[in-house]
Amino acid sequence: LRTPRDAIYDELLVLRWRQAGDRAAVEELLRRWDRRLLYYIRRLVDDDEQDAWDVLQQTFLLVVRKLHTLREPRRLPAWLYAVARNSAMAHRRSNAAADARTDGAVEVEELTGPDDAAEFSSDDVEAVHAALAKLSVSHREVLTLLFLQDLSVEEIAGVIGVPAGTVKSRAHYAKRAMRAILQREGVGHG
Amino acid sequence: MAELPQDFGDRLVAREEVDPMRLEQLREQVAAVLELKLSRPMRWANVLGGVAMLVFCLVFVPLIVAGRWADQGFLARAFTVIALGGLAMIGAILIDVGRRGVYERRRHGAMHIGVAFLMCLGLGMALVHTGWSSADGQMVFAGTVLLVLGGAIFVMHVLEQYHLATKRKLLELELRLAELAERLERPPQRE
Repeated sequence: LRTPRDAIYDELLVLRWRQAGDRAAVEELLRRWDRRLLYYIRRLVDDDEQDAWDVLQQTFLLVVRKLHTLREPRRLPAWLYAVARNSAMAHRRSNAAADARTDGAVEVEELTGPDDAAEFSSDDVEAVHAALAKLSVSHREVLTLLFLQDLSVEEIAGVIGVPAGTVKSRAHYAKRAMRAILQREGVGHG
Repeated sequence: MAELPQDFGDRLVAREEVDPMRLEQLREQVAAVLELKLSRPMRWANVLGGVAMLVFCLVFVPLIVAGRWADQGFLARAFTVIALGGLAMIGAILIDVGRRGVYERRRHGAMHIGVAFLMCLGLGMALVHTGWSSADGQMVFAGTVLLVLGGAIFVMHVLEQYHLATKRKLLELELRLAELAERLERPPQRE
């Protein structure tokens, strides 16, 4: 979980870059975020490894070029995820793979999983990680952003470009879908 | 929405395998965007180019111009001084880049823009002065436009730098407080 200290430190790095073009600051910033962004990007590009690295590269290049335009460094996490998402979407379009590959993904309507009664615990991490791949892209995306715990619901809404209410309902259905998958696979849940 | 365990996101990320070689390659690619590492010949080319530019601006041209300086009008003299001053600054930057062996795109790019900006301001002042003394309205207008635009950009830049410096100091203070709070929240270690 991002602590207040992490958030302040990230802000300082952004300021160092904006104020004096401090190269070390932006490199450190990218080091602090590379694994989390890669995790999110991999979920967006259906775990295609080469695509994921291409998108991460594109994301980093955009961050380096545009970071000085970030007027509110406090919004850095949401901004980074938005840049990653835009890069992933552009990559998907250029690959003519825009038609979301939902084959095999679990759709909300098919599910009869339990409601929000049970949340996910630390013991579920491995199963959740595996099950994310089985959700539709939109569900996978919203759950990934929620699970990474870097953004509020409002910020996720900003990244995805939908109202906060939509994020909440999408997350609700995505969690039901995830629980159904976990139940089906015999992971104790619900 | 119900709360997740605090370390859920970190554990999820830790589940993911990441090829460290690929990550390193990516970092190198980013570094290449941020800076241009100069080869030995390029470093020498920068240093020699910079020195040549300085000698040209500060020694060679003044020697040529010295004899004819009094014949020139104010505008011609001002143009000469501004052009030579700007070129000399660029020469100094080239020497610095060659000495370090690295062209930092953002920092050195900003320096070049700064020099161009100073030259524009100098040009604006020279135009206004000449236009004023020769009662040439067009020249005064052109110079004023340059000065107003340049002045506005300069003031905005100074204000932004001041704002960033103040914010940075505040954040450094906040960071110390956050570190202190974290230390206080941590349970005392048993001896």
